[in-house]
Amino acid sequence: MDRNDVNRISLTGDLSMVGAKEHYQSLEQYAASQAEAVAAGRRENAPLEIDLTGVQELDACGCQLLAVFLNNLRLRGARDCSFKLNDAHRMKIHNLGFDDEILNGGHP
Amino acid sequence: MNHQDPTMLGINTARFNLMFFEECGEHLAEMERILVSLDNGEPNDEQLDAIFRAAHSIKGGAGMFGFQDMILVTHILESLLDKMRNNEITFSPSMIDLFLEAGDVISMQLSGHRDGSEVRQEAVDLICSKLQLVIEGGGAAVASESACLPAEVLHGNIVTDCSAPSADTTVHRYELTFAPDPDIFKRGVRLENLLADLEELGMLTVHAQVNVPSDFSTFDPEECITSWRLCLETSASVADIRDIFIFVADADQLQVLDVTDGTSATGQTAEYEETAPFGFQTEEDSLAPAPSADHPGIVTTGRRAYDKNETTPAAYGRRAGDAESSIRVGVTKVDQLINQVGELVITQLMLAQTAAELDPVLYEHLHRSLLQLERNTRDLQQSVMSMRLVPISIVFSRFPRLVRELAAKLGKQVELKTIGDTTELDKGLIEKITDPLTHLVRNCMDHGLETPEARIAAGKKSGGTITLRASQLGGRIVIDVIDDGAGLNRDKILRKAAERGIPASDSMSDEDVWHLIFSPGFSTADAVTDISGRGVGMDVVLRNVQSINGKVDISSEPGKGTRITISLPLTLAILDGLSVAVGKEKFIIPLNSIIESLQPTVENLKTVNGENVVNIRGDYLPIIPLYELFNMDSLVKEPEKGVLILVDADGEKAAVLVDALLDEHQVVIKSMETNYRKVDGTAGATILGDGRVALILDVNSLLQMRKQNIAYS
Amino acid sequence: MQTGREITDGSGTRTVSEYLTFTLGKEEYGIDILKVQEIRGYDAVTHIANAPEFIKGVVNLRGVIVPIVDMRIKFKLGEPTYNEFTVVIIMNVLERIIGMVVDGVSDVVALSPEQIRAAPEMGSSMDTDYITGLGTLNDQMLILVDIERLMSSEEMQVMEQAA
Repeated sequence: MDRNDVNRISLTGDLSMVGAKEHYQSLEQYAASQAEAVAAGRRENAPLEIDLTGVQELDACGCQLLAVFLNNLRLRGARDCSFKLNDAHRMKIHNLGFDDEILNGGHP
Repeated sequence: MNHQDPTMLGINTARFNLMFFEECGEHLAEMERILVSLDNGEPNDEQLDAIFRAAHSIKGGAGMFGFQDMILVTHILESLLDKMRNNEITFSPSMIDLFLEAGDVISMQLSGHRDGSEVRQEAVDLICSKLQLVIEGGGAAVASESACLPAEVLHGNIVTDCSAPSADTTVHRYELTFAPDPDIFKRGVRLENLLADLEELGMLTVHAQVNVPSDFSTFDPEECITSWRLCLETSASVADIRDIFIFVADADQLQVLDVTDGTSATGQTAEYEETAPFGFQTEEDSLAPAPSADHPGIVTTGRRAYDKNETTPAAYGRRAGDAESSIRVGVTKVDQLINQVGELVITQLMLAQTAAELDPVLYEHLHRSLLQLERNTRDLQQSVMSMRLVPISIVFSRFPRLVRELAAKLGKQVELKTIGDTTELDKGLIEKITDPLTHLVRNCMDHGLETPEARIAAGKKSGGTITLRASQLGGRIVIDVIDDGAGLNRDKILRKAAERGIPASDSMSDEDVWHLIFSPGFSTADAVTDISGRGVGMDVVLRNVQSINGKVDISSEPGKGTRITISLPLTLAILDGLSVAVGKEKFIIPLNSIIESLQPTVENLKTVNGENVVNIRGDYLPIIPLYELFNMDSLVKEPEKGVLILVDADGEKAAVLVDALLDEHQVVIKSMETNYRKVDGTAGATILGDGRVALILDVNSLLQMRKQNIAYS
Repeated sequence: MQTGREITDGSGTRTVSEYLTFTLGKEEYGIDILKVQEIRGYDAVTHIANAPEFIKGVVNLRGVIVPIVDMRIKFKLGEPTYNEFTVVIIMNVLERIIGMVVDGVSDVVALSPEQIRAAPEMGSSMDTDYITGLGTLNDQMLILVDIERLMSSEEMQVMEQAA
């Protein structure tokens, strides 16, 4: 995962059971640094964009991870984010039933 | 008979309960075993007696504990059996199913008393009335009239309407709630495939709900914390829906609610279908299923439903040995204990070696004590080793009933044979091998074996045979699943592979083509009969076996049958072996593979096609010089100066040349793969008395290596 | 990328990593101390047939079989000797226990980020893929090795490679 600018998170590679642990670590670091920033009074006001175009594999495990990560961000007050993803991923998220948890900000 | 509640007599019967539950379980298992072994044939006097005695014992025990409900059922059963013993009632094949059903009901009652789980009174009432009918009706005629219901019911399927045996074509709306095991991701289950299969049944909407943890930093991404709510509009039956989840969910992880009548999600008036593929009952039983015009009957469930953990000694019907109480000990503790005892043995051996140099007369007392120490240590090691070993019968014993039920469901005749039930393997392996084996057997019955008509048309006998064979070979446990069915269809497999985008070519060997069925996403199942190919495939079988360092091999002959061989390492098993020396190193050859050993004379040594052979009673066996195969120094290069160990590798014989024969040992097999990798020609290693590591030779592999070496030279 | 154990001091931003240092040939190396399980002498190694020369064989470590690799042979660092001073570092890498023969073990050192700089493309016998950086301590250059990456690499032939 890399962050090109402060407001975008790009995820690449294998976001399935295989790469879950690794991605989790990156996401966790990001979440932790966000928490630190918030604690230090530096709040991100710009909207967040999550770029999934670089993701090759995506499965239920990966969707679950995304959902948990996004929920965590929301808990810390991040505003709803936008997503950049190709049709195949969009289909997959839909087929696995994660529309609400990931794309719709947790609201049905 | 008047049964008084013993607790009223002031007797504390609680601590005798456990024994009763275990014994009762044994009686039920025995009953089932005899009934299934009858294969719908009439029991002889001895067998009938045994079944009667089992029922009688259960009744007696139940009486002691005041379990009135069990007394009731067993009493009627006992009466019926008694009449049969006295030839007052004639036997009919459908009675076997009836008795099995009775056993299931008693099992359910037992479970109710033991675990407090729910007892479905309708099932109890039903079996009582059915048994009663048979008694009053004098036997055969009445039993067969109700055959429609009991047969379906017994196989643990969803009930079908007797008057409309074909599928109900009206579209129903079902709400499914799926709360999978947390380790479902780790098991490699691909939910996309499962959902795709569901989608094939009709209109599907999916909604995932993540049980988000409060602390992201402690979240384990490999664990599943998501549950799914699905809405499916389909004309398929609940059984079809549940079939899709067969390997993925236990019945209690999947809830299916028929909401066709437009009722609310709380299911106040919704029909509650309880299905039990092969005997797992749902626990959400808040509604008593109401018989309706469409679904007249109620399902009872198999005994297996109540064996929560089939491998624990207390689970009835799945016993390895005696009825003993057990305590649970962590596996790592046992491993640690085994290692420590191993070190103790080595220390004791070193002591013995040192003491051997001391004058036996002067130090007589010391020698005697050390001898005693050796005996104690050896006993300790035996006991500790056996802690983890369990006979494979614990796995095999579930199959007779499974095969019987499945055979009935598929309309096929199948006989199950098991060989090598006493083969012991590590408990950890048992747990991991059960699922793959079950899947293979189901697969075998579903796809491998033909219908009786097809078999007869092919000139075979109408009944097919499935053989489960377990044996220990060298450092491995080999389990075969053999059927005499239609064999694998090479063309069909290649076609399917092409369809699924799996790389394959016509020039592939048969072996390689068979292995294609292990590719992820592969399934040659036809939709209609498929009961084993949904959601989870052979690729998961392979993965499960590989995860325990096992291998799967397939051989098949069209028209004749298929053999699937699973070979597992025995990482914690003991091996009887012969230690031999080559150069500075020592090796262990498993005794199982050794025919004999000898020092050849020059006259018996010949050369054939450039290869050295030895003449043993007319047979010429190739000589395999170990030092050559392993590229090492040795003291002996000429066979007549060394020792030849004649070995048998699955029928092929050879003579392994070593420097010297050392000793016969019982050794503990240690894994090489844990920290290193598998070494060609070997199957694990062991630690000798001097603390050094010795490799355990794998005779099959040695022969292979030899052939390859010759091919390349 | 792993960089050894990180210690933060009171101010919360400085991190210091700890390494076990050892000698191979003429050079000094360091590996993450957390990956080191114990240190043993070189003894009773059972040879493994047809394994590469730098895999000396396996030993019995309290009932567990552990492979031993000799880095001096692998990276051609002088004449490997085996005497009472030869040391084997037993490491726990990627859930496997592996022993590594070295010429000698020096010390456990702590390095702060300022003491570590990137490794240049040339200069060391070891492929720079496996080097996380160069540390300097008292004018001594320390080659910091990514031991996980090294041991799991195909060329070490110690671990089965994922298909």
